[in-house]
Amino acid sequence: MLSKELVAASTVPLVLSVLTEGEIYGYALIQRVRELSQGKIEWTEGMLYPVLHWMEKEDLIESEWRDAETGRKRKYYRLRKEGRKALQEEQEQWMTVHQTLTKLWKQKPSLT
Amino acid sequence: MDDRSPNTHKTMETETKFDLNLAIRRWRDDLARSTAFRSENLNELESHLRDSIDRLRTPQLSDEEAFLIATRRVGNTQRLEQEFGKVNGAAVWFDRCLWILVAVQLWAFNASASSTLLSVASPVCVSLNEFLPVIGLPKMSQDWLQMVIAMIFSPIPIAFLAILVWCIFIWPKRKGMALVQKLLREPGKLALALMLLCLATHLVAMLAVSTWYYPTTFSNMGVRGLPWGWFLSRFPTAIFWAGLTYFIARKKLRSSAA
Repeated sequence: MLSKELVAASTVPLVLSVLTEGEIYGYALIQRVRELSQGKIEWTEGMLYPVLHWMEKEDLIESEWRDAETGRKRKYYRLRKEGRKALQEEQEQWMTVHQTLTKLWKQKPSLT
Repeated sequence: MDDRSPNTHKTMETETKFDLNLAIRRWRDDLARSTAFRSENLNELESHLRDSIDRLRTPQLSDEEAFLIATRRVGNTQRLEQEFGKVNGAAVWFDRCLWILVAVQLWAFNASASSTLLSVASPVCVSLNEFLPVIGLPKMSQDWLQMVIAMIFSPIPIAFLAILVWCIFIWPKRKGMALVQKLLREPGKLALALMLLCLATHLVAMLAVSTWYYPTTFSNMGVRGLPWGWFLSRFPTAIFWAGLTYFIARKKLRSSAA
């Protein structure tokens, strides 16, 4: 399980990355992250929505209510141009952290 | 003798069945009490909850158990309220301002509606007063008459509003009441509707006052027209509040449509 801080920091890049696969609604987005992380990334589900709404306000994503095949309405989210740009920046930052840590951990295998 | 209650399994059988839709409605109503959620947020959370319940429902898990797990996963009300409040912060303040404006408009409606009533009722009551000696009653003095008229007619608009509120509680399901309830959930539209009602009553009041109340004063001067003093003392304030209401309500309606 991830720490609370790491979950908070990784939510935006995770949402942006899932949205590169195409538009999706909140519940399915959470399922996708759970499946990819093999259950290691667990969100308090309701907390995702304020994040999505904030991202929408920042023009990173856009949304639309549509009828789903179940007959109920669902709100679908889609990536915007600004979102793609933001994702690129996020990618660079996370890769920097990732590469630095892997280099360090390779140097001193005795640590583990 | 057997001291078990003879009805044990009967009570088990008649145990009330879990109503999923009712449970979901209660859960939603519980969230709706907070101003941090807009109705669109609640629609989205409800849609999420229903998806989650559908996924959890299996032969081993009852509706009630699926509901409990799904609500637990969505998160507790307090934390959700905090997080949604952060994003909806501006909207929450708009709502508060709008409710204050709703109160101001209601008060202004009350003032103009009672002036209308008074100015229409006064001449009628004056003629009735002239009629009193005919049926053997003493005629009232001008001061008393004015006071009696004010006491009878001024509270009518407030009483009307009170009855309206009472009706909302008594018949929440009636068609007209459902519309009022819908408006109560959308302070933006409510404030706009009240603003129009208020401007209309101001105009009616102005016409009524000029036709029934002041005509003598003005006709002495050969002008049977508008009571400008009365008009100037009320209309600018009415326009100011109406403008402010319109401005904030439009902002609010736009922000929730976005």
